[in-house]
Amino acid sequence: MQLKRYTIGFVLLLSLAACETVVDIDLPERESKLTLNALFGPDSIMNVSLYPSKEALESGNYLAIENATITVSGTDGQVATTNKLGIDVFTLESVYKLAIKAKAGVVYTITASAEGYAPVVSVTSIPEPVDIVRVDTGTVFTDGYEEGQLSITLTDPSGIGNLYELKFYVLIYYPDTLDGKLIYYPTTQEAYAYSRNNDFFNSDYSSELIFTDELFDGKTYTALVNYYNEFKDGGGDTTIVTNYLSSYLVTELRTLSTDYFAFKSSYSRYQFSNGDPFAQPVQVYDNIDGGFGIFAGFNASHDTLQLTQGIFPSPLD
Amino acid sequence: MTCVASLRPMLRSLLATLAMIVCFFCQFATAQSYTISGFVEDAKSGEKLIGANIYDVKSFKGTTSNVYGFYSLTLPTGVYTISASFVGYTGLERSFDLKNDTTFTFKMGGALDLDAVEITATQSERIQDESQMSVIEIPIQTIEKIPTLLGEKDVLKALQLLPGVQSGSEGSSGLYVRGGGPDQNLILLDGVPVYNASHLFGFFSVFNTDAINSVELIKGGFPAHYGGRLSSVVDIRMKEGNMNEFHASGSTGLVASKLTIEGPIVKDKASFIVSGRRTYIDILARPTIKQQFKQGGGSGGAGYYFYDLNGKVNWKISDKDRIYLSSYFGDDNFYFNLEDEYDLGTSKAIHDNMGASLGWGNMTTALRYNRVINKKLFANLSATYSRYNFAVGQTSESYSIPADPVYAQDIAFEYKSGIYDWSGRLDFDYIPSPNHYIKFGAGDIYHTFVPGITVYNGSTGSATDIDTTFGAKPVYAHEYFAYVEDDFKLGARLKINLGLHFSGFLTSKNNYKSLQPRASARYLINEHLSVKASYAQMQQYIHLLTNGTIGLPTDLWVPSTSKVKPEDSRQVALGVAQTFREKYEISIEGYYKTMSNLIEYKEGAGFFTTGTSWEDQIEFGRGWSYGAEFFLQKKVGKTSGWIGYTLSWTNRQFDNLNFGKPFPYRYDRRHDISIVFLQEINKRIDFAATWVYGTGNAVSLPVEKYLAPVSLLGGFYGGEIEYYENRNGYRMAAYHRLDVGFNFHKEKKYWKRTWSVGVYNAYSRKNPFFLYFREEYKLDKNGNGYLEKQLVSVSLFPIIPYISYSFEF
Repeated sequence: MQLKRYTIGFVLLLSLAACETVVDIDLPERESKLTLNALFGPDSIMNVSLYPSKEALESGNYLAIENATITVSGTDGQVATTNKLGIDVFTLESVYKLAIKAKAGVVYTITASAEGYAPVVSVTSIPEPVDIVRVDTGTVFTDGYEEGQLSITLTDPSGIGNLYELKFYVLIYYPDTLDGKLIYYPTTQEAYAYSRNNDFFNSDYSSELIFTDELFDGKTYTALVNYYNEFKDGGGDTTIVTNYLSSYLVTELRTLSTDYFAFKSSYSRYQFSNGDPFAQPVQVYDNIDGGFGIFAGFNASHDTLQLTQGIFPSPLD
Repeated sequence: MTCVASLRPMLRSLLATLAMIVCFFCQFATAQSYTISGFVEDAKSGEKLIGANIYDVKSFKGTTSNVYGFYSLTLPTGVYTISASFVGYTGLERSFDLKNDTTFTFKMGGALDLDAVEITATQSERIQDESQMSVIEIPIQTIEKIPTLLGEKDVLKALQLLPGVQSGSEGSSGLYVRGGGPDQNLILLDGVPVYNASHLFGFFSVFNTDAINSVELIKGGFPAHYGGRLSSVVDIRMKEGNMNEFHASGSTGLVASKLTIEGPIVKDKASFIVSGRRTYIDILARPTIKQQFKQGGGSGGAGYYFYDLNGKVNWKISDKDRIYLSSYFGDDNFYFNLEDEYDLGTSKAIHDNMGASLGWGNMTTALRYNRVINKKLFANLSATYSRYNFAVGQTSESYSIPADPVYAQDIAFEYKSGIYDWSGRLDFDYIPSPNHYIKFGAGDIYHTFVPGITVYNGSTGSATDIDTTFGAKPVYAHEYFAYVEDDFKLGARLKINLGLHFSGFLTSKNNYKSLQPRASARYLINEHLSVKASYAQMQQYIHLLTNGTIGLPTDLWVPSTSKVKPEDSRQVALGVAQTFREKYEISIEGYYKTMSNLIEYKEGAGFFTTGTSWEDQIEFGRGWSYGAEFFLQKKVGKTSGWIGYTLSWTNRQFDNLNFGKPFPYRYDRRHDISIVFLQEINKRIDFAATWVYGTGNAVSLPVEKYLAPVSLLGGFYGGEIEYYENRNGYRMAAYHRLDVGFNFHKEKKYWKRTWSVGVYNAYSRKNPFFLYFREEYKLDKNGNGYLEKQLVSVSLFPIIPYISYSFEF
């Protein structure tokens, strides 16, 4: 924003005339604690990362803790334990994988212990999903440019205090043959929509679409988001997609646990103000007893809308 | 209009009640008494002297002149010698054979040699006599001697040298009084509130000392005629203009030049004063900047300036009637423009014209009518206007040569915010006897808040034209008030000021009301020593959303709403005051103040957080502050100055900040010391030095850090999270600084000139302005590179000399 540029420019100008001195601070010594991060959705396995915390001035890379014991148990009787460090295929992060598929109404407890660290524990659950009633597309002119607009209609359950997030993906089926038979390789790519209604969405980033049901508790509500037209083509090779393949917009309406919502909104505020010496620092929410991190989940419902009709059929035709 | 109509019955019954109270006190007037009344003014210029002491030399019964120089003293019939005295002037005495009401104006002669004041300094004007405590007045002549940043004399910077007043950050002209925030100060210029008293992000204040007559700071024990802010009143009065002769004065320094002209319009009847100040670095740098743009292939300019313009006209219609019209205009402006042309390579060229500006400023206007209704009753009717606004804008125009609509573009964007006030008030001073000084009055301020709107219009060759305005809607409110107070004596030793201030805040959705008792008292132990106590309840209906670290023009004034309740405070103070050897005044005060409904930005929010309604960006909490202030000052003699020391604690508690735990206020300063030393070496040279010390500001520093989740599922992408155990849990290094300056005067035949030289931060102390973390690449003993995290303190001003030249004739 223009104002931010001017002000940062002024501060930089001052900094040219300013003196810098390295300060010897006497921060109390801290023992390293376990940082446990596990964000999970319904019907997917839990990937748990475990790292040590550092003192504020400590430098060096973070190395994943090996040979830790992680246990997740649910009030539905599911229990999973592991001490084997694996790799998350999407993020390539070192994680402990636990075969627990989260369900609404179940309380999950996670414990982690590793040699040389105090054990940590956390408890969370995921809410029930809320169905998407309808998704409609349209166009709108913004600042003289044409943009796509999505209307997502949902009916909020009354008296529950739901916390939501909207996510969008473009799903494209690439055809291929195997043993003479036609098969499809689905690819999913996250697509970015954004909001112009910042009074409704609870984030400083317009592309982070988290909101509460404060304004429409128990009612049917339609949220509006905009997207760039390139979105329709999945951001890939637009000629191929437009001419040959069918693409689909998958709208995911997540219902977030309070832990998930608190972490996400505080972390986005933290990222937004990080590095600004004049902003008050943000204390990011964490729910790991004895350590740091976040153990939280969400539930989801989906809606699929066809964006383009290609020459090749798709499994959804 | 409906809102105003509904106010009238309430105001009428309130004024009727006030009149009854006045009549009650009338019975205390003796049967055969007569009144001497009139004005106290400077013999040469006709300037009214505010707070001059007028008293009977035998009984010491007396009074003081009000802010318009009016006094009234009622005594039993008899022969009296009445003395008038004011610091810096030779005292006057005159005999009166009091057999009827008498009007007399004391015309005080000036004295260059302040030692002469010793002759007339008496019991009546000394600190121990006043019922009011926590008040300090600094003579403008003193302010002009104090060395400052770049030599620019500054009223607010001088106030920061007083105990109980903190400065905030380096170079800032913000005031943090007894634990209060910068928005809790009622800064009045001729009775009109000034909303943003800063130029250049707080490095200079808007007050041109050449146009100012007096400055008074009240930190506690607020009299009932003040209201609307929690922590302080800074009452600044402009000069009125010389009634008898034309005079001019001016100065030029490193930052700005000033010129003041005053004189009679009709001798002894009407006068004017006009005073202006402007920076000139943009004018000096203009040719160089123009050249730089030209070398870059385009043309344009950039720069920054600020200016202040004060004007006042005063007209003495008769001995009983006077009219004043005073105005202030001031602005800051950053500007940039660029014009460029480039070849498209297809027999076509594109011409671009871009501009940007960032500006803010105040305007105040006051029209006042004084009437001496009778010997004991003085009235003042004021109508005022005050506005503060801020705007940032950008324009962009493009066209092709030859013209082609595809390339045509004309866009203008402007974001603006502001506050606009219209107000009227009626005040009475009623002095029925030397034992009572009664004030009462009422008024209304009509506020218009514009918390932030964006105006965008644009046309491009190929798309639809746009002309739109969006943002927060203006909010309108009436802030109404009425008050009554009496400053009275009970016996020879006890003097009490009791008052009641009623105020309300009316919008389309809310009507907040508040009754605020005020009380202060002094008990004379002996001729030189008194004990004082005070209690004050204050309410504030408007709030400043401020980043708080540096004074920014983006600081937003917002009203109380259904969500945002008015702030309120309660303060008690206890102290002793003593004069010794007729030259020194010492006061020791302790105070305890609580504040509620305070607002702070949510964590991570600030002026950069756009789009969200301001009401959703703030948290609500409370604060408390307590401490002790020691003040020793010498006002007269060739050596003068003061020592101030404050020991204080200031804390805040917000349910949604710092996990609900109390935390120190950012400007909680445990120890604060100011030493001001002024020495008249001889008639031509004077020397001044100030030394300040303050405990470092409280800041938030992380103690540990950890990795954020890396999960496509969650949408996060890693990074470190710093953990802050306690908000404001760490102290920056202590702040201390020495400034010294010399003034060299020379009397010429028709004029006088002064060279002022000095240094700011004489021993170049690296006082911290802010802290930040950085990573420095280093090599270990094996030659392997690693990143070392360091905490870095940024300091702004090393030793800075200044020089300026001033003249007057």
